[in-house]
Amino acid sequence: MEPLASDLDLLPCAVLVTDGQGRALLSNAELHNQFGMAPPSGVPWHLDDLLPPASRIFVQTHVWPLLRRQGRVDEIHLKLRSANGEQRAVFLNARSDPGKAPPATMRVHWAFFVATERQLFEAELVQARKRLQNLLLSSNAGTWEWHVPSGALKVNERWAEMLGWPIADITPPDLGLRSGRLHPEERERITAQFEALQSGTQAEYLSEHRMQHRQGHWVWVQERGRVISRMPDGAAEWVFGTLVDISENMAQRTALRRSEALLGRTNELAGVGGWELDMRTQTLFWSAQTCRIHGVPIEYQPRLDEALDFYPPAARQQIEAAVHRGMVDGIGWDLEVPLVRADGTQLVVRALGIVDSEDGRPVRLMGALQDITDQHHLMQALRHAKLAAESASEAKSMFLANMSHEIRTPMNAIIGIAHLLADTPLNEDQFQLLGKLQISGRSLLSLIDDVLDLAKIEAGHMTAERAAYSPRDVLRELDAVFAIQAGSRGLNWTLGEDPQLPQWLIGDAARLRQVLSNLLSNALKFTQAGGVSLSARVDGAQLRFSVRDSGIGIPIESQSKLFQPFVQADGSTTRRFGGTGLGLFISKRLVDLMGGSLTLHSAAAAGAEFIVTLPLEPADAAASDQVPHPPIDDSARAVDGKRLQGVCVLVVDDSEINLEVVRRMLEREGAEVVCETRAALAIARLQRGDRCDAMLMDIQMPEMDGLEATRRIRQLAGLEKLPVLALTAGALAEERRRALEAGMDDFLTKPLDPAKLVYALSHWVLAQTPRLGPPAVPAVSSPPPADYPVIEGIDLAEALPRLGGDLALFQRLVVRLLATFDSRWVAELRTLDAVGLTASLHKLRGSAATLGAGRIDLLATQAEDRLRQGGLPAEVLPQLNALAEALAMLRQSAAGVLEAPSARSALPTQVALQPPGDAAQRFTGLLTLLRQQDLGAATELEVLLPWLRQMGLSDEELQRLQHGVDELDFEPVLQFLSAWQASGAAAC
Amino acid sequence: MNPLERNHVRSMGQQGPVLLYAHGFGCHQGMWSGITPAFESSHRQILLDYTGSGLASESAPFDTQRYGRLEGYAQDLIEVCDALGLTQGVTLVAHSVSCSIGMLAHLQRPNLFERMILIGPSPCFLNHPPDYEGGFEAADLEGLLELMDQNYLGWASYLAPVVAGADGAGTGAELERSFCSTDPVTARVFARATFFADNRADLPKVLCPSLILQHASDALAPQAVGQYLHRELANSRYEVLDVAGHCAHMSHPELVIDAMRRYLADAAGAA
Repeated sequence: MEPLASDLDLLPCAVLVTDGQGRALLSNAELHNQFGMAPPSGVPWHLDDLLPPASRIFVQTHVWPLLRRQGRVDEIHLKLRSANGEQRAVFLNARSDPGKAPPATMRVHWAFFVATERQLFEAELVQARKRLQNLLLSSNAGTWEWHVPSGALKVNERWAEMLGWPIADITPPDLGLRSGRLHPEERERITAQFEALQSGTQAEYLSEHRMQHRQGHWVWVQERGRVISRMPDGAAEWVFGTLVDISENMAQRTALRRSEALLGRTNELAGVGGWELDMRTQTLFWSAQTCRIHGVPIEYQPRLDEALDFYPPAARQQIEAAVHRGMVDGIGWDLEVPLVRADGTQLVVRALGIVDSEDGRPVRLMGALQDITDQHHLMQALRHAKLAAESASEAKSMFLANMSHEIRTPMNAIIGIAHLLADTPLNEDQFQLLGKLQISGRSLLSLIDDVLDLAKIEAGHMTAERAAYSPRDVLRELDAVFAIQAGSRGLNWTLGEDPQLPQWLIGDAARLRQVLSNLLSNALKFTQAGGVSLSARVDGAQLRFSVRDSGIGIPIESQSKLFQPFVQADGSTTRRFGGTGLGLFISKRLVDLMGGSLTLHSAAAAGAEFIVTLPLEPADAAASDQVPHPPIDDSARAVDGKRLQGVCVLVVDDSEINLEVVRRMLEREGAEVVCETRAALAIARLQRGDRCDAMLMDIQMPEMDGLEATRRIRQLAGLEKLPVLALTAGALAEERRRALEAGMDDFLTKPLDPAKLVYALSHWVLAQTPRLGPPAVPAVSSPPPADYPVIEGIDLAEALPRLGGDLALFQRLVVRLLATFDSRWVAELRTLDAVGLTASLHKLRGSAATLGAGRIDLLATQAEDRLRQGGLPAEVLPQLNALAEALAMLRQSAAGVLEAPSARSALPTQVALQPPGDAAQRFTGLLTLLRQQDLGAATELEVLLPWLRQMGLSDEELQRLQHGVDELDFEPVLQFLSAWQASGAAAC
Repeated sequence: MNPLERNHVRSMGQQGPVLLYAHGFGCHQGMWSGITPAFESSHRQILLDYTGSGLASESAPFDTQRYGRLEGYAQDLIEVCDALGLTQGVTLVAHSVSCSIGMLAHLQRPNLFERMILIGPSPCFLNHPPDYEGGFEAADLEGLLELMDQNYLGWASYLAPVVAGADGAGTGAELERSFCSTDPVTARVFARATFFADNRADLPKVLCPSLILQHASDALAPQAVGQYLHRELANSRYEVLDVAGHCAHMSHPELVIDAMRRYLADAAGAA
């Protein structure tokens, strides 16, 4: 093939022709000149000889494959190596025969253009531009180029897209395009800024504003610009810039501003200021409200030490310590401290601080400050008020306690003395009056109890006790009382008791009894005909009592008022039925206190049902052991009818009247009584070694009270076991507990119930000294000889010694007793009124006691005591029935044993008269015997009969005296003879 | 993604021992179109594109971490074999960088390849004086990468019509024969992995027998490198093909076929 060498050599580019494997076939002069390669006709050379290693690989891996596939490559950047080792950048264009010619015959034409600087630069530029475009693309920014002199504005696609225009639609782009899209509010400002750029006074531009989208809405953008080149006069030539859509940003900023504003406003409203201390920079930031609290301008930003100056010294120390702890340990604080504002006014603030930590180390402290001056003062005032209220309450309760004591003391005297009076010789008028006095006394006591209860409730001092009690016992007691009352009014009485009722419950038996009594009394009071019933049953987890009556009922309108104090269903009720109106109120409160409820079902003229429900709390068996068994039974054994014979009692009470009452009560029972008004004196007696079997101690006394006295006594040697019984006006569980804690053994409430008093004393004394077990008998008690008759109902062994072992006398007395208290007498009993009944029972009692007829004595005593307390004959019916039975039994059992009563022998008239002095002496002795109720009086009287006749007593009188003595009715005898003596008739 | 899909695996023939063809840098499975017809009836032939190369460049996301090292490409081979259930008895036919890739795969799965046929192999392109001459300095290789960058834009514009077949380069069969370059980005990654790899230390560990087909005059893999390989690879046979260039299987396929046949027959005979 003829090489067109001369034409080739003229080509401005280096040319090479190779075969399909790169072996050089032809080359031109330029190739030689540029790269020093000899024409291939000489030493054969290869394309690769021209290529430095990098190019070699590139050609191998990129260029040859392309040539083979498409027969050409264009504008490939390459580096060629000349013979001297120099490398030159070139552009390669190559052509090859397409098709499947085998490599050896294939021809490839290579043209290398040496890259000029400009070409290289342009290539670089293209690359740079591409890169830039990619950058912009990724930044999502629009770009603009403003040619200031002509006003032309070139924008990119993104710029246009941002404002809703396809780029093609923005032609020709100029500044007006942009200006037209500015918001009227911002146009002036922005235009001014642009002018500054234009004139050259500003080199840079930044603005955030709105521009109108093609669709009409406003888009928030950030526009930046920079002067790139200037005209000779300094004016801007080219300004390049960006446009970024900041809609989202703006939305966030608005939301932030809104929440900040809200925070600021609400803090202002609440008077809460914020602060922040950056520990790294030691700068302290105060919010507007904090500044306001301190009384400084809102822009005031203090140093830490300046901030602390606002606190008085002590508070400053506190705050400093807290801040220090926060910085070091990361612990926050919450303090109430005084603060002095800039103008000197004093505040109280609440200072809160928390710590921000990074990597476990505190870096920032921040907190809040609140003016709590008003609240602070308010709290102070409240605290004072509370203290005042508390001390007022305390004063009230002390008053209550004192009043209770003060009132009960004279009440005790009244009732006690009335009781004692009843035992003295009284004529019928006096007895009747006394009965009324006793009734009034009891009413007054009941009223006082109600009023004191009310006061306690009002003062909030009423509490319900929690102790084991037997509900059946309570029911039984109520039954005993109210059955009789109902019967006496001609009303039916029913008691319903649930067999499921537990034996022992926890609760306040006394209050329960009080409530049910109140309800039952009311029921009886307001029922003319029909009946009253009490029932108790278990209802799930509750105890349910129902008091039902068929009385006048309560109209529905009045029912809600009923449980208020001082209210009855209608005003006339008080006049008709009496009553204070306190009962139901107190009952309701008591029931509430016990955790239950009191409800009413009634309608006018339809009767009423009151329902008390209480929580059912069964007590366990162990608790029942602690139940104090109240003395309801006077089963104390008596000597001569005296149950405290020989017992020495020391009574301490600051009231002399009370002492007198108690003394009488006790001496009546044969006790030896020592009284002291001051505990100290009583203790002195004990220390001296005075004999004492038991003490009755009033609790509330001036100087030393009963509790203190008891404590001291317990410390004295040998007196740890001395029975000390408390006498008190109050009966609170709390007082009971204190009494027991002080060392007292038992508890008696005033006004004293003589029966309970005697029972308690005898019980405790018995428990202490076994020698006082069976009462000491003057004579030796030996079992009766085997031939003594055995009469059921009579304790012969007990009675005989009293009679001096005179069996005949005994028999005679039994006969006499049975004759006097025969069935006719018993029948008569039921017709007597209270006064007559009392007298009769008294007589029987004395005789029975002497003869050892224990049961008869007991029954008669019970009945008599009840009547003396103001009970009605109807109330002692059970006892009367029992007495009838007992007497019948005695009659039967004695019948077979005794001889027929022999007639009384005539009065001996042949008795030698003693010398008068003797008689007078003997007479005095007779009086003594009579006073002592000594049966020897009978014999003595017989002896003195002649002398008495001689002294002027009539036969009739003497007969009466004898009869009285025989009947063992000594008192009238004694009275008569004393009076007779006093009248001087016995003067000798 | 299923490796068979990801790597555009093609399986030809049903019976006979398995030939697995692994292409070199900047190529795809189409480059084997001159070879495969010769073994159609006697062998089962498996062809694949590495992830990021050829048609595989479009289908799968390209993990530059994985494919920045030759081990990543070895993993492609293993995954494809696993997907095909091939565990042993495979003959690897590898070109250029696939020789190193294949060796790495063999070290991972010692039982997978029965033997390897290596066309234009080089374990390391860099010179490591005084003992080893891969043929290139680091500067040269960086220069290559620079050239690749410079020609990137032009490259992109070349590629589009070619891939789409817009220049009328044809359908199916033609495309198979034609030589598509890869996506410039993946090419860059593959290039770096290829030209800076140094697998000389792995050579002694290769246990399976191999045939080294050395181009008489190969700028990329000169004879010295081939001889080095022959020394280091146990059980290797060394044959020089009278070819100038680096792609004998494309420029002189009949020479390659002949060499393969002889080797495979010997191996079968020996077995």
